[in-house]
Amino acid sequence: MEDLLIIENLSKAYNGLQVLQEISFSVEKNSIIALTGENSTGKTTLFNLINGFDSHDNGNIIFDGKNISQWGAIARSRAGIGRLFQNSRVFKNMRVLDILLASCFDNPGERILNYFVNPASIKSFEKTSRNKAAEVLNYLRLLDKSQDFGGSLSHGEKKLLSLGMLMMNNYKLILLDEPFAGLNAKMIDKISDTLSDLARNGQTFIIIEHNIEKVSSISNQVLILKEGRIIENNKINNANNLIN
Amino acid sequence: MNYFLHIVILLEIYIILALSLNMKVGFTGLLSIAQAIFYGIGAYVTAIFMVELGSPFLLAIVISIVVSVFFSLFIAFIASRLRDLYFALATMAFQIILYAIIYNWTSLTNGPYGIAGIPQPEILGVAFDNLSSFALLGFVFMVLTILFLLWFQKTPFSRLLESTRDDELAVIAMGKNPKYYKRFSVCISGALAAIAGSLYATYVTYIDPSSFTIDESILIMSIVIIGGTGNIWGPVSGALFYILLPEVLKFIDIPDSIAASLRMIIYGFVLILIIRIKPDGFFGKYVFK
Amino acid sequence: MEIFIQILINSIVSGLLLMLVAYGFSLIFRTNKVFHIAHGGVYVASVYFLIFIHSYCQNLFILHEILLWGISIILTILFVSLLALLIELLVYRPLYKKQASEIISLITSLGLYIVIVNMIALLFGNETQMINNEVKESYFISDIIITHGQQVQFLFAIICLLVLAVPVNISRIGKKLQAVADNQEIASVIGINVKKMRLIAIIIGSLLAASGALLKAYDVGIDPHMGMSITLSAVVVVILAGKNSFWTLLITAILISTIQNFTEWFLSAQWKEGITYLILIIILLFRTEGIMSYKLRIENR
Ligand SMILES: Nc1ncnc2c1ncn2[C@@H]1O[C@H](COP(=O)(O)OP(=O)(O)OP(=O)(O)O)[C@@H](O)[C@H]1O
Ligand SMILES: [Mg+2]
Repeated sequence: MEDLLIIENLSKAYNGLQVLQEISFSVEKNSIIALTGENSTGKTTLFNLINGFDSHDNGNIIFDGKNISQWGAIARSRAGIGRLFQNSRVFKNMRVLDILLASCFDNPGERILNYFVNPASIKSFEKTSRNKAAEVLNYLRLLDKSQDFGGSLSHGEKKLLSLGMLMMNNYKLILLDEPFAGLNAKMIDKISDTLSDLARNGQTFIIIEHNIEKVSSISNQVLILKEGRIIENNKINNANNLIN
Repeated sequence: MNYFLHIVILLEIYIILALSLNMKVGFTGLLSIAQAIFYGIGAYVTAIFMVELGSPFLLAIVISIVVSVFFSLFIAFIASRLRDLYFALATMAFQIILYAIIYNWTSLTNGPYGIAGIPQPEILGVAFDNLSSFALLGFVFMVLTILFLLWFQKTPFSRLLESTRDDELAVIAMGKNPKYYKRFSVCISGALAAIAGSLYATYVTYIDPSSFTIDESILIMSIVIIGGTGNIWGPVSGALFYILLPEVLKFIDIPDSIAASLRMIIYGFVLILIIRIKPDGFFGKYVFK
Repeated sequence: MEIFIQILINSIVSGLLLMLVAYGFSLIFRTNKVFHIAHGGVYVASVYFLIFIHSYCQNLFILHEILLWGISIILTILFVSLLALLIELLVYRPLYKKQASEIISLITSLGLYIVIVNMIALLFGNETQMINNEVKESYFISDIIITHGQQVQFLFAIICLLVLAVPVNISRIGKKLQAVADNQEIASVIGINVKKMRLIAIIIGSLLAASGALLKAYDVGIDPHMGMSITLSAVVVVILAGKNSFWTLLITAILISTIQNFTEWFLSAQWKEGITYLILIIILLFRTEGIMSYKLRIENR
């Protein structure tokens, strides 16, 4: 299969502390990669490098056939790299529906000129994205919260909403930083159901998760990080229970 | 009656001014302490164009807006580099620097002596040369501002301003550029402040730098904080409170010399209390943190 | 040439006065975590109180002039300490308990500043006040003049720094203050009484500002609104200096006042503030990392 993301010899140091050393791996399309390892081994840092929040010292990142090493975070997001943060970052003082609407790509209403030149395009986009948002909210069973403020949601609902924000656009690759951390069993089921639904539709994920058992069952490749190096890179062929 | 109209006009000007700052503070989370400068730019550009060049009122307003938007870009630049306390501090510095320029550039602004004899506005042959007609003019501008903001609040664009205010990093992760939104909100804010300034200049017909000091900027900021930010009624209620407070004080029959100070003392106390017990102000939506 | 030396001497004297205010501001900013704009209010309040209490005592008993001033100054020290105490207990401690952000503390402090300044205006009016009205003889070295006021300012500024600022730098209390400034949680875990340290910081800081104000008013007049501009100059010093070291602050204070004096001489007094803040804005915009603890992890930004 085709590789969606190729990481070559990626290294990163912070003030002399070598956080990541010569990381190399590749991610096939439609696969789910589990990334695991002890605390502070650089998992989140790796995500920051992939989605462009920080620049790496050495190496290359190739996404969808293009070398995106020099791209900024905004360009990478638009190219199709989405991210769910370790600590959810939903907009605290906005209503849930507005949060979803704000996260749509290519909204003609983002450009001032369109309000004068082509107001109809804004209206029609607004309509389709509202429908989409309603669908997403319905799917996540957050419809009754659509007028609540982001800051008033529970920890689990924030994670769901962040997933919803990602579902508003068609990201090619989604980076999930500990999506199950701090949730109760019910919420974990809900989120993993959502993820498997998305995977069935061909979504590619990298998931950071501490509990290796929990992820190895849902993923088809497990990367183990230790002290900034990949110490294991196992492809799992039989455990595709998520995909099928 | 005249006195009543005077209060009404001040109220209209301050409501526009408060709404203008709310664009920065409430919609984009930029606590700027330099709003008096944009107010002043509006007043001075209008005065200079009308007195020196005899330009008509509407043209003078448009030019004031353009100049004010230009200077607003400096605030956008500051906002792209600094946040929170250091942003506020840099805007204070900006306020003081521009004040020094207005004060010292005597050939243009006449320095501390100010500009006198600013003509009263005339639009399409209709002169607004008495209090009641001027109150009407101010009212029209105020209503237009409010209508604009009511419309603006509902646009997809304003949602993106709000997301920028709440979490810049998340906005970047959504593939959008927060700098662009900040730049926009700062420019709208400058434009609205310039309108307030134009009205002020043509109303009082004499301006000098003392109306546009850092104290005035602090005052405008506190109007917005006390009233509340992030919506329209918050800043409007803040302006109402500020303008009507001295009228209420009149009932308790105190000498004028004391009244001015007393008003500010009460005002300072209210500011301290509001930020402690009700940080979203009287009617605000956004909780300033 | 003489003019340069003259300006330099003036700058050293006014730099010392600025240092008093800046050191106090820095102490409070770091320990209490408040951007203490109301420092300017305390600054002005001390002068008005001294003048008030002096004339009050004068009418009460007949004393020798020096004794009279001595008593007035002691009472002023008590007054300023009390004012600082009240500010901390009533205004800043609730913020500390709520873990309020820097920006909330800035707004609160601005509110406090408005209250103090207008309280002074209410009680004493807006007129300029001076402590010393007599013209005393100056000291000449060829063409260079060192006025009597400057001599007094120079001498007493150094005394005040030695008595108030230097101990903070070297004593055990100084170490504790530094620990609170570095990290309040750790400080309280290792058994430092954070609340007490905050009180000490704001009292010493306010006394430093007051000493700067009294010395200033000895030479030139002071009005209720002067506090803001001196506080903002102190802010520039604190931010430009970057760290809390005594010598860095002192040198920066003298540097800033040298720049101000040269601006005053070659341009005009009205450009003084503009130039000072131009420096501030340039540092803020282009050297930010050096000044503030902004090196956060990306996710925490
Ligand atoms: N911006 C930064 N500046 C300095 N050090 C950093 C920065 N970002 C991360 N680090 C350091 O890099 C190391 C790895 O951090 P990272 O967050 O990537 O770990 P992690 O594997 O995600 O840990 P956890 O499982 O706790 O989330 C840590 O020691 C951290 O302190
Ligand atoms: Mg992590």
